Amino acid sequence: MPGGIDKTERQLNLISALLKAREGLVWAEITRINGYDDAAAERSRQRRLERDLHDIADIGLMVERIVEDRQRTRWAIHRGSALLPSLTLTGEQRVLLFRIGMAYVDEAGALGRHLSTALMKLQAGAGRGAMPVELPPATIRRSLLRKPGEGAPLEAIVNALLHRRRIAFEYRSRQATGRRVVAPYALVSRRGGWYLLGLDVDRGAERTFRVSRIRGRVSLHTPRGKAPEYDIPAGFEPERSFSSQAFGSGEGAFRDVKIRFDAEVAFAVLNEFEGSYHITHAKDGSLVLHLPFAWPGELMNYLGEFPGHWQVQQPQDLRELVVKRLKASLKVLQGGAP
Amino acid sequence: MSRLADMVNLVTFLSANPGIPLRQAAAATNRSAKQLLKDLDRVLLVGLPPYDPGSYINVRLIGQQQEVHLLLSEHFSRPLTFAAQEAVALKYALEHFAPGADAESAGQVRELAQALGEALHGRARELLREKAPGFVTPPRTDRMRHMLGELTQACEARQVVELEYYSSHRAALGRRRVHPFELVEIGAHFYLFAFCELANATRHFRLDRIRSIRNTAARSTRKPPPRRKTGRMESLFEGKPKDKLVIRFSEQAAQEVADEWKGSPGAKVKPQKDGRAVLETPLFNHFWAIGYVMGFGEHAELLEPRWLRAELAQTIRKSLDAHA
Repeated sequence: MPGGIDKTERQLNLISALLKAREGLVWAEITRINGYDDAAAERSRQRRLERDLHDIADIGLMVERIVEDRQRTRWAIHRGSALLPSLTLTGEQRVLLFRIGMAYVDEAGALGRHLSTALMKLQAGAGRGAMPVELPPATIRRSLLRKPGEGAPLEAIVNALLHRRRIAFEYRSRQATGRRVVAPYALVSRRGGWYLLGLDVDRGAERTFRVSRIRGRVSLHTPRGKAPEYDIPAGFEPERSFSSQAFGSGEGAFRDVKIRFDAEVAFAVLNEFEGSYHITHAKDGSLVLHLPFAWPGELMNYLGEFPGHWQVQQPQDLRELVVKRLKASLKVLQGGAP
Repeated sequence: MSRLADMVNLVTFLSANPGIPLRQAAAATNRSAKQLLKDLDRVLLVGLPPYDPGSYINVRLIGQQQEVHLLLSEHFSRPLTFAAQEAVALKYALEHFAPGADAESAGQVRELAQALGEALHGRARELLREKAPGFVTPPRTDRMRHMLGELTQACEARQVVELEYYSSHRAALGRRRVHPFELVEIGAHFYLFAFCELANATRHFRLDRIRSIRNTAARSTRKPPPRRKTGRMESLFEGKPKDKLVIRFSEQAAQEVADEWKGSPGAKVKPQKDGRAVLETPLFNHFWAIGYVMGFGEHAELLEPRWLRAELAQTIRKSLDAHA
């Protein structure tokens, strides 16, 4: 154990001394710090200091090396850029930050980890006395996960997004399977799954990737590369390149779809779609949901939870298709093969 | 986070919050009270030359609540600036949290994000002011936000509520008196995790299937069950499986199913010689299964369990009757 004490303890002593000394420290003062005051050769202890300063820089604390003359070097923390400015947060805002932290405390990977330290810093930076005596119990848990199978690629993509690193993976598109190198710009959740939006480096253009179609492991394209490897272009708008329709859109989707729901389940439609889609109400409590676009598979997935409570009103060809598919499904259950 | 960063953040947090009760400090710094005590032992070893008894950071725990006081740590009272990843994590959490919060909280989150964007400096300031969102989730309706707010309050106050709830299993509305524990986001939905008096057991209630909520103001004495990983998707897919779900998919649907289910705990997708595929997965709750199979139409056949197959046939007949 160099210096006779644990590395973290030694580095904490160094940080403590650097923070205390507003004008910085010269080598002679550093050699009095516990962890640098041992009998090892001076050059060896100086190398130890360089390694420690590197680790300290990794946690966001930049230490300047100021050469005053050929004989005298001073190490100092630039307080303006290294320390968080004073923040004015109300008690309510501090509780809200606490709630947000607790909501993601179980989130796997880098998001939960970095969020936790960010919130600790904000709570510390907001000064003394504003934390309420009783913190609220943690009663809400949020998660990014949409499907169990998306867990591993999602975590790797979130890590890359946080660090602005390019990633590489095998991707199965409708046409072929191949290796893609992508600079991730955003993750969009639609219809119960995640989609990655980013720059496809080989194609030199923005592309959308369905996370569940990623095969194998998502890895860093250049593991030894230095973050950030790219910037998200100014004006990038995820919604611009992605449909916000609940049941899909685009070529092949049905248009001007109307579904009637009876009074018993009308509330569930309002819970989910009121304000997003046009809804007309009838006196008997039923309603009609108007969808500009819908794919039958995605629509049936939703409607399957309300057996006997819905009816496709228009377009006629969608109604016929739904009836045909229902009959075919029944036939499969009666012995036909899928 | 490195051990060093964790310890520096802990010392700055405790220096800025003198007298904070031990349990509260542990919660706010994301560790157990036992771990915090261990870490405080370590803090005692941090000092300044000449390392006499008066130059080490001192820790005092005062009173019944064990209020934490650090002495001689004033130089740690300002936290380190944000690392870029921390700023991005904060931005993403704020923008992910807001759409699933009640209207009042969502407004506060937006104000907070703006205030932080103005107050912080460097990369954190740039990132928090960046307009492009990192996570985009579907908007929640005002009704859902209102419900989230009402149920959060009931969970915090431990108040019994009456739900008018649509059960997919019965395809009908019913009333339930429940003791709420917490709200959990699983997959694309929010669930209320609660003790249900009707079932005499804990249940997850999907929020978009709740028609109305009445807070009875009666205080619940039910204790939440031992902490589970309720923040993870597995919470609805753990415990003792009710049955085994087996679905056969056509050749056209086989690849999509294989992609979707890869990595799911306990699930297997078995390719068949003729190009079809059979999915086998433990069935912990069946509410989603009928809609899932119906979404594939004639490209999926629910093979097992037999009772669910019968329920699916019944669902399809009812849907056909509605179109007669």
